[in-house]
Amino acid sequence: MASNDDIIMAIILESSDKIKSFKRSLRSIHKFFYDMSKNPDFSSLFENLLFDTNGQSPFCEELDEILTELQSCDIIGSPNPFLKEYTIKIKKADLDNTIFSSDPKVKDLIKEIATKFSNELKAS
Amino acid sequence: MESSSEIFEFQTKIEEYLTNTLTLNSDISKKKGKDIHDNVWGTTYYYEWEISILDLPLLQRLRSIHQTGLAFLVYPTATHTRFDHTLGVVAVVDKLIDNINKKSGSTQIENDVRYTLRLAALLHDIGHGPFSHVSENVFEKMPEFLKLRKWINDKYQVTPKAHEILSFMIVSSNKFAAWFDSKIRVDNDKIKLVNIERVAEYIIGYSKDPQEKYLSDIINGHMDTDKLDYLARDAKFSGLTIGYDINRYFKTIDIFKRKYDSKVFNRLGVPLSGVNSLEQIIISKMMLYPSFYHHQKVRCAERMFELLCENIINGKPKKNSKLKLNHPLDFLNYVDSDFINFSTSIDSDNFVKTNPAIKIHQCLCKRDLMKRAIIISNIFIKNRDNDKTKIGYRKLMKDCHENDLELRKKIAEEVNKIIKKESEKIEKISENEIILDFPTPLNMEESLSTMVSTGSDDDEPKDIEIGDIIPIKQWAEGYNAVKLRGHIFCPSNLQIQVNKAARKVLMGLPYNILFEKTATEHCHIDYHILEEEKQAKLIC
Repeated sequence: MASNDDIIMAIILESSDKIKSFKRSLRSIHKFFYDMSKNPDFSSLFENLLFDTNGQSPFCEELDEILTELQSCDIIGSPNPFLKEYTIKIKKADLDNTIFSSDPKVKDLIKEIATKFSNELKAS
Repeated sequence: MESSSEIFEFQTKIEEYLTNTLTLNSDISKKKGKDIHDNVWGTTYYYEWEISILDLPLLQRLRSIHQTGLAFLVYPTATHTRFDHTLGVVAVVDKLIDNINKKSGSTQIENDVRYTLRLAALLHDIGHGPFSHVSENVFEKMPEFLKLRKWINDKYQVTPKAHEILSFMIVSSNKFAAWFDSKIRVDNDKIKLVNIERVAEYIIGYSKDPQEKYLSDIINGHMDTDKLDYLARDAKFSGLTIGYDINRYFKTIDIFKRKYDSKVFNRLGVPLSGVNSLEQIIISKMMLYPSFYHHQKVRCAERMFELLCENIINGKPKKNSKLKLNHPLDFLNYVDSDFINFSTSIDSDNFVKTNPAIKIHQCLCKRDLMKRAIIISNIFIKNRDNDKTKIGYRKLMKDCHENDLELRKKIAEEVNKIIKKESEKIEKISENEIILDFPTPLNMEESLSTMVSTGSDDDEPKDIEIGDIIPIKQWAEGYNAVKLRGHIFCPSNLQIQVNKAARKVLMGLPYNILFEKTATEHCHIDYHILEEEKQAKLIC
């Protein structure tokens, strides 16, 4: 089973087929992954992703760290001057094949979530 | 409290732990309230029941736990303890409540709630092990703890830190509640209404009623009293000139009503006029990271300690050691000095010479810290625009955080090949003499959750996130891109060999990283010597 950060990176890179950037709204991103983790069709991918829902909107510290790390590695970036969106800065082809091809079921789920991700978080 | 068998086992262990830590030598009925003087917040009055709790071994052990881990090896005056910090948080809670009540012109926070919050502050750190966050980094990875964390999240929908979970488990235990009722609450009308269940919940940042969310915000929120104390205390005791206008912050902080998804929340927040003081606090936090928490020597000492614990857990000192770390709760049986005296607790002389844990421990005691062999940073990578390198860099960060054993073994193997070629006299190196460290990037989660109120407290309050006014996230990104550095540490006599080996291993797959010469030079290793050696070999 791939780890949380591998799954999230795979979803973001998979969505690059449809979008080149996505909204840099932490609230929307955390809400999206929270909804996915509660959706019985996808929850198996996010079993270890723990959300704090005791505040106004769901927040996952690990997800926040994953996004920050992806940015530190320049896999996603936030272009100046408006800093309102994240740009996906690498090609999907460069991702380690283990996540995409080892388990066809996981691959299909990632593709499905990536489509939802691009629809919901596409930058305007 | 319903629970699975594993959680039940955890609770049973908590009850066992409390058998020895809930005992008082003196007569509780004779305890009186006291003024306690503090270097950071001045004089604060502690009630008689708080003094009784402070006198328990449960709290007294915090006197022997450094607040900032092993940072005192680098900042000699950073010797403040979890006990000092605990008292400080109570003082800040009290000041905060005074200010909120003063502003409202009434007793918005009643006395029984004040006492409940003060108790939560007093007990919030009792789940800390030796050297605070350093041992926390070790026990939070234990399987028993991962299950407990998941259980807490399922039940309360919060994601507290590991030590907060242990504090919660202690305070919410039946034994603690029974002790509190029979020894503390009895005959004391003042605390008749204090709710111990709430005390435990506030420690993990949980509030059942959204309209009371501001109460858990005070103890465990993004701008909580814990943070207000540790930022001021760590800066003061480390000797770093970092500060913020706490009085201005106290004057502006208030309770704001807001709606979200048809629910009404009462949260702690600031009006627009309080943004500057909030900004100062956030900047203070950002300044403390490079100078203090992420200082390379501090990180090195802490990682050495973690390696020592990992060796103990893996049973390297076996029955010879008095330290037993088989369960997360075992850490609460020890304080810093138990680890400082670790070597002397081992029986066999022969054993000492060969054991990696003892070697690490002796180095720590003599402050013979490992040296940097190479710096891992985005700005020191030659081929950083290459997509495969970006993926490799992320893999390296991940390996450093989660499982670095394989990589340490690979580097050690490579070092041993180099040593074999160079000289027969140098002893072989093991993976226990190589440390990989990459701090978790700064995330500044405050940008999402700290609210600024721009309107009056009516039915439709106008709120914005602090991140919309102050570019907190962008500051954190700048820090992560330029200042955040990982390191490979090794014994001082092998800096050059480990540097060469690390560069070779990380150049290969899956990392694909080529380092700039600055990654070596900043470790005070002469890069030209390495290059000349390389050239000489090519000529040969």
